[in-house]
Amino acid sequence: MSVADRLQKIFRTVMEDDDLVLTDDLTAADVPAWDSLAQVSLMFSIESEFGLQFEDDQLTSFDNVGELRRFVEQHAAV
Amino acid sequence: MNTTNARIQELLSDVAGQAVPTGGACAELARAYQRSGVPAQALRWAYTVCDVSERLVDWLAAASVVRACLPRTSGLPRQVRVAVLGSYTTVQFTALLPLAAARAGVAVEVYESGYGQYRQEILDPASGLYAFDPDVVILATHAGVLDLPVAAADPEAEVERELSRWTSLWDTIGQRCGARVVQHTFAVPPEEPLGHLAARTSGSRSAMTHALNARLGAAAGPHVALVDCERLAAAVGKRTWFDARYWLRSKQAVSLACVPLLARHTAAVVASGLGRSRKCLVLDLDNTLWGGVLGEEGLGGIQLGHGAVGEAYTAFQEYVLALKNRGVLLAVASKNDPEDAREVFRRHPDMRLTLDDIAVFSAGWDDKATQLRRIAATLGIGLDSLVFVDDNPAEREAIRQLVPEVDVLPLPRDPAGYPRALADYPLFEPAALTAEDAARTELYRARARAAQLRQDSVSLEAFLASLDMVASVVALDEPALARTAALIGKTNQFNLTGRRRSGTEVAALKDDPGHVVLCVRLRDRFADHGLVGVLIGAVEADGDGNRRMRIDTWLLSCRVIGRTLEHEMLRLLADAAAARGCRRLVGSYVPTARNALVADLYPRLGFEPDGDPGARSWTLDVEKTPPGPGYITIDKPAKDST
Repeated sequence: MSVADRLQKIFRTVMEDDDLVLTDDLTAADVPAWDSLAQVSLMFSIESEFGLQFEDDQLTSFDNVGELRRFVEQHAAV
Repeated sequence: MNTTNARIQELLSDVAGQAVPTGGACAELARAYQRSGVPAQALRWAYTVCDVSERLVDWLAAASVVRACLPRTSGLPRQVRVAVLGSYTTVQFTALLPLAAARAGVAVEVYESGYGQYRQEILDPASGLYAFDPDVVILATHAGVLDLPVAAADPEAEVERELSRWTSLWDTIGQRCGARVVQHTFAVPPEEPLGHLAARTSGSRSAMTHALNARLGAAAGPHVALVDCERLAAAVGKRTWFDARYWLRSKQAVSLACVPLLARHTAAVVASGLGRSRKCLVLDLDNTLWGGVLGEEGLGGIQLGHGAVGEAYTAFQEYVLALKNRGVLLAVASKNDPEDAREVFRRHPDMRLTLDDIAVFSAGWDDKATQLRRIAATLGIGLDSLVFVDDNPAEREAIRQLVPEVDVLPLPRDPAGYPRALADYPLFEPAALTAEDAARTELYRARARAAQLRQDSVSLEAFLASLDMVASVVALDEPALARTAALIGKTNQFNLTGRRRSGTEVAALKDDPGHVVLCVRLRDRFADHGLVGVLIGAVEADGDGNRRMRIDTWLLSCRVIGRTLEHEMLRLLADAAAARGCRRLVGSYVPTARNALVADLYPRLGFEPDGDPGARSWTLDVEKTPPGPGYITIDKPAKDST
């Protein structure tokens, strides 16, 4: 599975929305379930899935899904 | 639908080839079955996630399946109301607990206190906790809330004082609603200022925390159960248990890597208290209790007691024997010649288990489902009391399908992992070791209770008074403005209007004579909570030619909810309003998804409904501002600061 597909799977699980489709310009403001607590579960799940660690401020600083995806593609261990 | 069914077949053939299926595959199967409208299978795979996975994302998926599918099946044997009172962010724990509880045979309805509100919820008789009327109260607490010094001159007194803080909370819960308490013990942080000297210093913080855990265990009566977080944290590693980044970012005192584990163990303890623990371990023989096949290799050929493989089976037998010695029934279900099988128990020198340890010995050529039914009937217990252990995945799957009441332990391929697989299995959790043990504990408890006799009976009022709280108005320099903007941006619960003023707006308003911006910090005996309250008022014309002040924004950080700070803030605002010639304060409540907590704030503070009550607008004569309850001293800023 591509990074984008794996990210989409994590997003769908955390947001409990099987129809959620990730696009690069998607932000938290576009997804009602994407609140600050979902953000924490999301970032943690991405860290475990891809074997990476975000810097402290990155836990909340990605502007949109595209930026997050590009970061993961560059830093994923697996 | 067809693609879903094809995917199910694909996943089923994947997991059939795995000794222990992966959590990801099980979670996906659960969701796929849910989509196909087969709730029983969806639940089965969701429960398997609990057994085989520690991954948050698998658990979140399985928990969502349970939420959707449990109501559509015939339900579970027990239903209980569980309140989670946390000293840290328990949102994920609370979301996963119903999954782990359902896995243990208990349907739970959960109530979650606001972040860090455990003490206020327990002490306030009118709290949401008591309105919920719980059967079980889980105190999900962490060492960060303990008031223990780095090094104590009188460690025993420190531990006793801390102990009575917790036991008095247990007693209050017991008296007010009779709920059973499940207390998480305190994971001792690995950072120790005294270094290795701490190990030989009873006054070190880590030694006192260990002592407190032991004292909590000794003080827990029959209505209090412990979940030993210190042991769980040590098992996974303290550096895994606590991740500072997630603590700092969202006050997770238990890393999300460990919340599934914590939910599983907490649910097991809850289920055990309801008599839902399993009673009997049913053991296969070949490649389960010893290596090799007895019918082929004979008594001398099986692997037991010697070499890496033989010793692994011995270690497993020793763990099984320890379970038996503390009350778990043992049975054998084997496809073997019965006499040959018994002969191994009698004659093999390295067998740790003897025939006397086995309550029912079933060996023969009947299929295992039949043997399990016979074992349950012989012992006079239900099939739902049995746990089946077999190295053969096909036998395990047959039992899951034919006798679903029986619990099946997923055993790894390598026998070196057997003892751990059994040790990690949570549903043998004993409620008490023996009846006498329980009776003795009860006696101990009654005595302790009489001795204590409410000398430290703590009321909410006494607790608040003991905090020595001091509030002060903060001068709005740049850091304070940044903190104010952040607080406005993220506060959801105590937030009257949900209006999100930006930092730039606040900076402009503070210099505008038509506005009042009140930012308040609070400290108490234990901690300085920093800038935690924001109240913005706007001067406007009243109908009768006078002025009034409209409350534009009012919020409190959730870490200080229940501290009565809102009363003091209101008085500060009333003073500021009067100074600007306002006769009345006007406030409105704008409901959002999370702010029901403050729906009745204005009437609680003495405001009158403004026009029809449905309008959610309230008014207060500035001169009638009620005096606060008096738990907080106001530290007035120096005159020149404005």
